[in-house]
Amino acid sequence: MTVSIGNAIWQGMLILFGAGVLGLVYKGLDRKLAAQMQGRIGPPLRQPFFDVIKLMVKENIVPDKAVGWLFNLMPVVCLAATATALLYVPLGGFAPLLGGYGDLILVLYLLAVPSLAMMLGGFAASSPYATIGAQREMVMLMSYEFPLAITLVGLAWRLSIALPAGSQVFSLGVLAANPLWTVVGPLGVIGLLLLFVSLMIVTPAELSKIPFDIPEAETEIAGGILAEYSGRNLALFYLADALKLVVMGSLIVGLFIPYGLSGIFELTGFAAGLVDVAFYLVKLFAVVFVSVIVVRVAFARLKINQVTRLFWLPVTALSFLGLILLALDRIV
Amino acid sequence: MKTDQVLEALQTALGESLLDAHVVERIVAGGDDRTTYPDLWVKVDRSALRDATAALLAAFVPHLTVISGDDLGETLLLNYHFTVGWGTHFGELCVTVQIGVPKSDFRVPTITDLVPGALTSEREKHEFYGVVFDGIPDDRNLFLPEGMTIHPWRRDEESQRETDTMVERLVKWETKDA
Amino acid sequence: MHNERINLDLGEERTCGLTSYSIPIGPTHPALKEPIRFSFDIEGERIVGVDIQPGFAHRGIEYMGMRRNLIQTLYLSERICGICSISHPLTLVQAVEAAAAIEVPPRAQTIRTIIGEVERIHSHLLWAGVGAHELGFDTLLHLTWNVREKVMDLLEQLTGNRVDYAIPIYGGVRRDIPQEKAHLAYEALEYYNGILQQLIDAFLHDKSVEMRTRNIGVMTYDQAIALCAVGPTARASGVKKDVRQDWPYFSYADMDLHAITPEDFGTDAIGDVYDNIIVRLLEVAQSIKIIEHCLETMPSGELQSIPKVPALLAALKKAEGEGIGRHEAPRGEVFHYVRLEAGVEEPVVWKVKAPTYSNLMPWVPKFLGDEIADIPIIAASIDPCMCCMDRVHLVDSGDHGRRAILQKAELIKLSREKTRRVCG
Repeated sequence: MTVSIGNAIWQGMLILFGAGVLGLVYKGLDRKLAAQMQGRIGPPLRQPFFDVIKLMVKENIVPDKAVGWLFNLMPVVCLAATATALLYVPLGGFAPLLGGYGDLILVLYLLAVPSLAMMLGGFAASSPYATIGAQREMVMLMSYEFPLAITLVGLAWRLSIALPAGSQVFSLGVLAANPLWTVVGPLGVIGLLLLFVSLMIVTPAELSKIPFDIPEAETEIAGGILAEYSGRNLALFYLADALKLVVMGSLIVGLFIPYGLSGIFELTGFAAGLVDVAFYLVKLFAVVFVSVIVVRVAFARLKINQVTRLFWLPVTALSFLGLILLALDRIV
Repeated sequence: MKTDQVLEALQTALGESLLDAHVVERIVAGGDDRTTYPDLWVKVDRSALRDATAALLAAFVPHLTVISGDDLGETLLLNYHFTVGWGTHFGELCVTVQIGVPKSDFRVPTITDLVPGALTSEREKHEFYGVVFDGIPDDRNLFLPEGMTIHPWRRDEESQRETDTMVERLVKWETKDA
Repeated sequence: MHNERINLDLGEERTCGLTSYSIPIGPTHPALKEPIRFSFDIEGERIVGVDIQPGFAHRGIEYMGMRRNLIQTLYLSERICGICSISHPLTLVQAVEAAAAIEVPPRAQTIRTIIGEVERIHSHLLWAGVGAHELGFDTLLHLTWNVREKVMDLLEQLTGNRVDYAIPIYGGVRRDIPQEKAHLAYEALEYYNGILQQLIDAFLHDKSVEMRTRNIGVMTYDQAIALCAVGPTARASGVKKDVRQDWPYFSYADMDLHAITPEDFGTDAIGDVYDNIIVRLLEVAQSIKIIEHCLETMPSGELQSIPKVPALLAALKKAEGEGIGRHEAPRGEVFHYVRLEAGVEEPVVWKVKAPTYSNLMPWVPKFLGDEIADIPIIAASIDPCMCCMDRVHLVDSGDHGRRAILQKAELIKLSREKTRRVCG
């Protein structure tokens, strides 16, 4: 895929802006639907936009004892990393803007950067709550990265067998363009399903949502990592969180349900694009609804040791089983 | 009858130090029956407080509800409100052990080693009356701020004046907008 | 109240190699609904020490009560606590009635019992919701509080208020529950009979609640007795202690109640947070039965033995003596001691003991050995209620290191100055 620099810039801007709006709308949907499920009325759909605007005009306080530059830098790093990851995942049924060579691994790293940034920001705040939050974030990261990595690598490995030698199987674009479901046999389908489930379980952890919102845990450590953040810095984290929702959702959609409707309706051109984008939004919503909204309504917050145990034992076992089934499928 | 058992246990343990004991019948009219139930009030010498507590501990499983204080001027009356015989249907008896503490020698032995749960109450009496509990493991203020030296529940002139001044300032401030 | 100073074998040894650090929780913190300060010594995520400093809400109510006539004191006592707002007046009237030898008509006793039990239902449901929120389970919070609205409506229909019902008066009650209102109570009870099993399922048969509450915040039977714990906190540890069962008063004197412990649920009493949930939810069922019984056996007759307030005041002014009142409030035993002197309108001595007062010390063994993540639910497990407020407060006065005693007026002045400074 070749794009001119100029095109790439305006497309990138469009993606970032669009994804930002989308992320905030989904955040609004999340709050509204969760409220409805809990028997509340909930905030208006555009509340996240108000929140961002409000935070932007509020005073930005840096605690006396904080390491100022680190404290102020980390929200920017967090947002930048998430935004970069956004450019590497397939959005709206189109191929990703950047990438082509091994960007699956890059995305894996880019997804870890926001957590690291929040962690450093938390340590830089020099508040006991933020420090505990940062420690917890660190443990969380170590817990869910393992099953996440197994899932992504497993998919790429299976695809490398299916595609002719020399294909860029570690590219998200290639993965999305060649859905594995039709490639593998029945055992492989079960394996893929298992990988899908484990990725869905990792999603709320990656997004720090209940039951995995331990680094922020409002009732325990008063917002943890974010306890000392306010104003513009907090708004940046908030935006990064909204973008991350889109990244994680799109990653799952791109890896497991990359199908479009335009082929079925035999549409072409602009109409095809429109239908595919609309369908993508529905798929994204379905993923967010199942892995974030329903989960956070149905569970209590877990403790850090329970989370580690959950990810290291059952979820890792799940992804390994998926991997093994994929391998067996190849042999059988 | 429980009252007799408690009295007997206290008499055996304290002897002469048991200064006074009386039973008050409490009228309870639940439905149409009018029944009375006893409460026991005993007065013991200050030095016998620990023996009285130990005697109750030896014979029953007493629960210390709270220690209340009553500033009589020269002496402070401390009421140790125990209950014994809980856990059985209507078998509980309130035993109030009263001791007088003269202000000239404002000390009481602690009972926190016998009843650890007494600590809250003893610390409260310490800060509100200024009475010293000998051997108390922790004598910091509990409800009042650290460093506050006024004893609000004392009725002697100086404490009253200090407390009232504090309250007056507050009232004046609270009502200034009214 | 420092753990190291308590003469108890808590079975805790400091692990070597880890440096401990301290985190403050409170006086204001999302986990706390009322101000209190905990200083925790933490190793990793484990609590190895705790110091509790209450008093941030000390209003000097007893001091105020000793300077008001008894009827004013009665209304003042209602303001001690907003959640269990009937418990303190119910206890005070008992203490004064005992001191002044005033009898109470049976119908009044039954009405007091009913209101007390309706309050227990609302308080326990409130607690269950708060507990769910502390666990990060907001869905359950909203469900429980939605269910609780029915009993709040009932309280309003019976007494005119959602809180502070102003029902008891010395020698009786101020308001009747007439026959035509009884059906409202029956309707509410039927509603709760139907929905209680759902709540029990949602709390006690939910894996994620169990994971967060089983073996968390444990207090053993012996610790509960040594530390003088009361109410559901003690009963969760298997201590069969309930004023309504142990000590006859009101209409409870005609009932055969038993203290609810986790054994009634078919499990052994461990004394953890889960057991606290069991006890409180089963007590809701118990309260429903008590109210039904009271409504069915409601005696007829007078509401007050001395109906005219001036006559009542005169009788109280003549009275001399001391008395104690006790009531099993939703959080445990409330205790009032009153001494009256002839010729004085005010109570000469008024000592109030709220349940949380007794349950302060049990917090220590409950916290030790557990994790930071457990702090909110353990703090909530005794259903704390700091019914007192600031009159004087110590703050850092700005010159670092120097501390000064500032009164409320000065604190307000400082805070207004700050607001002006921030707003430019």
